[in-house]
Amino acid sequence: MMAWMKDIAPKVLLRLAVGVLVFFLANIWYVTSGFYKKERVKFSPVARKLDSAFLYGDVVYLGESSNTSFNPWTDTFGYSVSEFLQMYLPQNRVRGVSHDGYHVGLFSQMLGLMPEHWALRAPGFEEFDRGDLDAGGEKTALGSVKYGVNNDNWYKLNDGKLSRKTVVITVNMRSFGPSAMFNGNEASNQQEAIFYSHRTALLNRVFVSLHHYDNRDSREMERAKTQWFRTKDLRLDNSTNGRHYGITHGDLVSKGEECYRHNTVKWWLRDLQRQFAPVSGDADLARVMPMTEAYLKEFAFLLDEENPRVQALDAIVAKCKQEQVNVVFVLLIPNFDHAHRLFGAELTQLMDYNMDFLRKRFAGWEKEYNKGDFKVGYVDVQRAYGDWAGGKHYTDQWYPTEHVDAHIRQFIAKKTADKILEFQYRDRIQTGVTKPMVPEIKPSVNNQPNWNIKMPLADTCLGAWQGFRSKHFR
Amino acid sequence: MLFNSVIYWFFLPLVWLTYFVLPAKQRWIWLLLASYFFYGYWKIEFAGLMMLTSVIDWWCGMRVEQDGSLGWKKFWLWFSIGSNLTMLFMFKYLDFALGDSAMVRWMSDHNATAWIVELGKYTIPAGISFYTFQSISYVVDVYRGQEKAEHNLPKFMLYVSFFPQLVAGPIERFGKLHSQLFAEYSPRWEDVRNGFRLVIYGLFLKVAVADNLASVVDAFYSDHTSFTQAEAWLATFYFTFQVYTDFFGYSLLAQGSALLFGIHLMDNFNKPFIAKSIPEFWQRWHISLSTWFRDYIFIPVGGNKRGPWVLALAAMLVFFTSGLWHGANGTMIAFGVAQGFLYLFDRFVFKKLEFVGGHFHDHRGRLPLRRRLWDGFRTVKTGFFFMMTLVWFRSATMDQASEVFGMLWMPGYINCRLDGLVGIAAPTLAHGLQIPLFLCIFLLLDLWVMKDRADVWLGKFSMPIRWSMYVAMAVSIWIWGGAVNHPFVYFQF
Repeated sequence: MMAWMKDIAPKVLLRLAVGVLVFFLANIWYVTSGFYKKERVKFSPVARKLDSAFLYGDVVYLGESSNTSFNPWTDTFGYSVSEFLQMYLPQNRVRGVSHDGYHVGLFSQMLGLMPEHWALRAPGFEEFDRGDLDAGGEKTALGSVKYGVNNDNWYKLNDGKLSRKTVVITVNMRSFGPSAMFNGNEASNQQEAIFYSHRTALLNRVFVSLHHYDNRDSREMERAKTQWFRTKDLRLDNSTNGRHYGITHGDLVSKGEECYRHNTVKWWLRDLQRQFAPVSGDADLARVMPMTEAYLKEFAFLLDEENPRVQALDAIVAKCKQEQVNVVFVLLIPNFDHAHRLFGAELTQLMDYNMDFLRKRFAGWEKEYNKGDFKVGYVDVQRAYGDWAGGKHYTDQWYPTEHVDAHIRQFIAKKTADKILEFQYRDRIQTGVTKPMVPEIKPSVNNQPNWNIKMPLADTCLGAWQGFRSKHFR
Repeated sequence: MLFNSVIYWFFLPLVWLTYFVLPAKQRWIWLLLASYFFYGYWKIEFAGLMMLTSVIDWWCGMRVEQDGSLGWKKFWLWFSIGSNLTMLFMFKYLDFALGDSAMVRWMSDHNATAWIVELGKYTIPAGISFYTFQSISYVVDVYRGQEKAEHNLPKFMLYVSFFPQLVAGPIERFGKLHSQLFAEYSPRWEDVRNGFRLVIYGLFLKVAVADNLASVVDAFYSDHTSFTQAEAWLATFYFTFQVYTDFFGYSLLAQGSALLFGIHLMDNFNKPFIAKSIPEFWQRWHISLSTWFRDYIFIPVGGNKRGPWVLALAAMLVFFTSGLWHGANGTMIAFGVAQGFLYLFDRFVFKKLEFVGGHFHDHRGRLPLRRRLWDGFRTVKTGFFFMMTLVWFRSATMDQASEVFGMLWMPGYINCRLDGLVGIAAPTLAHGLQIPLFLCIFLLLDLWVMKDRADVWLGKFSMPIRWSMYVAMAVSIWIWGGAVNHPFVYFQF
């Protein structure tokens, strides 16, 4: 051994050991003082909801804004999809965890909070709740309970009656595109995601301090997005002659170029600007233009195996298989209707391609895991509904979101419940409560202006007018 | 790779251990590979760009040394300077220079020229301003005969790319760094220990102080119009110490990391906020850049030997270039020019008021009260003026800077409420108090307590006290580190 090593190594090792000891002592203080709990709520409010959902839920619905968003002015029936789902599954405890801008990449990380042996469900609520206390479930740093120290305990606890829990993952095709992937908010989403794991509490906090996540700022994200728009080929037939895939647009202004055959989003956007330029003073177009651009940027992409969100789907299935938790993917419907009005088939074909890409994947898993204990299912809302949902069902009329009215939300919940029940019937654990407790919603009734909502501006105006009138027109 | 990233804390020990296990003669090759990995980890193509810069400067350095005629020597010198400045211009200033003119739109629509516009929008390679300046200093030193050219290309590449000081300095001179990089060295416990002390103090400044201050500053500058005058003052004050602790912390991390390899980098800061004038301030702030400007611009232009007009011209040129160096933005130029005017004001006007302070010593040889008060006033004035110019430094646009100045000074904005900004940036009371607490600890240490550099100062305490301080700093980094995603301020330059 070199002389310097003899001198330095013991000193360095001693200090490392002290450092590790201090770290663990600090961790104990950090957790027991309740500081971590507060910090976790501050940095990742969703993590706490997840703890609760995994603690009390038989079906955990992981959703994004489409789960809850409704328009209070016109959508009078303000239940979320997960609330509808609970109505359809009264024998299960459904827990919805949703957050704006979430996506399958985050859902995949959220499954990291799934407790051990969570897959196994007691037949009834009471037994389950008493069970975990009787078992002397070990309290974790997070305040949740690790069920069953080992499998034997678990079986004993539930008298050998097993059932399987289910995770529902909403899949939004738009979130696989560059606009969603390179969103300026993604860094804060990733910061929150640090807490979706059972790591040592202090290590999570250190990761926040040292920004150990995808912390690209909004400028870097914008650059990545622009590069995608500039370089990613949109041609489905892989032809190299500059043509698109055979769609023609007779009315488009093209300044003598075949510019409607768009290879990239960049050129498509350029043509869009040229079309609108001559009529840019038109007030209606001034509103339409940003929406049109948004539809293009959100939906003009092609899915492939390299897409990180596609890989996240694989990770979800792998995790659920490992934990033996059933998983149901709910493939939401994008607003095809508006997309078609704005761009015709040129855009909707791309959207169809992407939807088919996801469908094939889900159908493959459904088939693969049909026979075993662990099951994968998917709800294809578009196919189940028959066709595209009409544009009127979307609560955001000026932006391409998947926020749908109560009619479609209820429909999604019903189809999801059917899929879950299908698994549960096969598992023979149906517990007797079969009648869904869902109120009737008539589409014609819904989507009417909600006159019960108070309009403060109107009231204020009225008040001011009445004051003015009483003062001057007595 | 950032110093305050988890990956760096695996990278550094690995490189360090391997470095000393290898035979002494091959160690520098390992360091070169590690340095390129460190830089390429972020974006591999930028490592290629740095290699290109190194090859050009290495070649030009040799030509400058070997060519007999002065004309050729000058040619190679200017070729090197020109190539470095071209690289800087292409990646840092092209977008700013092109703007959004009709010509740019025309170029974008034509494939033959579209790449120029695209290049301007490309990400700025981290630290390009630092390593190009370091390269330029080498060629100029060879031209002046102060240094011998390095004939071994990989060795020269290591001088340019040595990872602890690669992306944000200190900008080291060839003579000092090169001799240390290739010297026979056996690791010494003193260096390891002192390196560790610098690293932990640097990380404390960056993570526990600067990043927490950034949460308030960022909240204010993201939507300054929704805040009050008092909040504008708070954000301006906090930003002054955010930028200081951020860059000072980085410099200490660089020095500490280099010291583990037995390499002593220069001090980049020397208590700038005790400076009594702007000229003195710049002798204490970002010293490696200030001395670079002094040696390669200020003195060659004429310095202070050729009368006040030449001095004024040289100073303004230096500060204008310094502003431009900080960023391709009107606000940075305004920051530089303002510093130039303040420099001249102190040098020519304020200096004449020295009599106000009276004598330097009383009859017992001590500093008289009047002198102390006057010096105190000058220190506060210098810090205050510097703080004001940082409004340009931090603002995204000139419009924003004007509005913030308006908020700071116009009577119409008078409002003493702080709850809006503090409520957003520090939602809990504990967090709200923690930020000024850390700042006060730092200011106390920096302005009054620490008379030496952190490693020397910490070494003066007995082991229990010293270790208590290490533990306090480590726990502050772990538990109270700022959560705002804020890379080192100077990485963008």
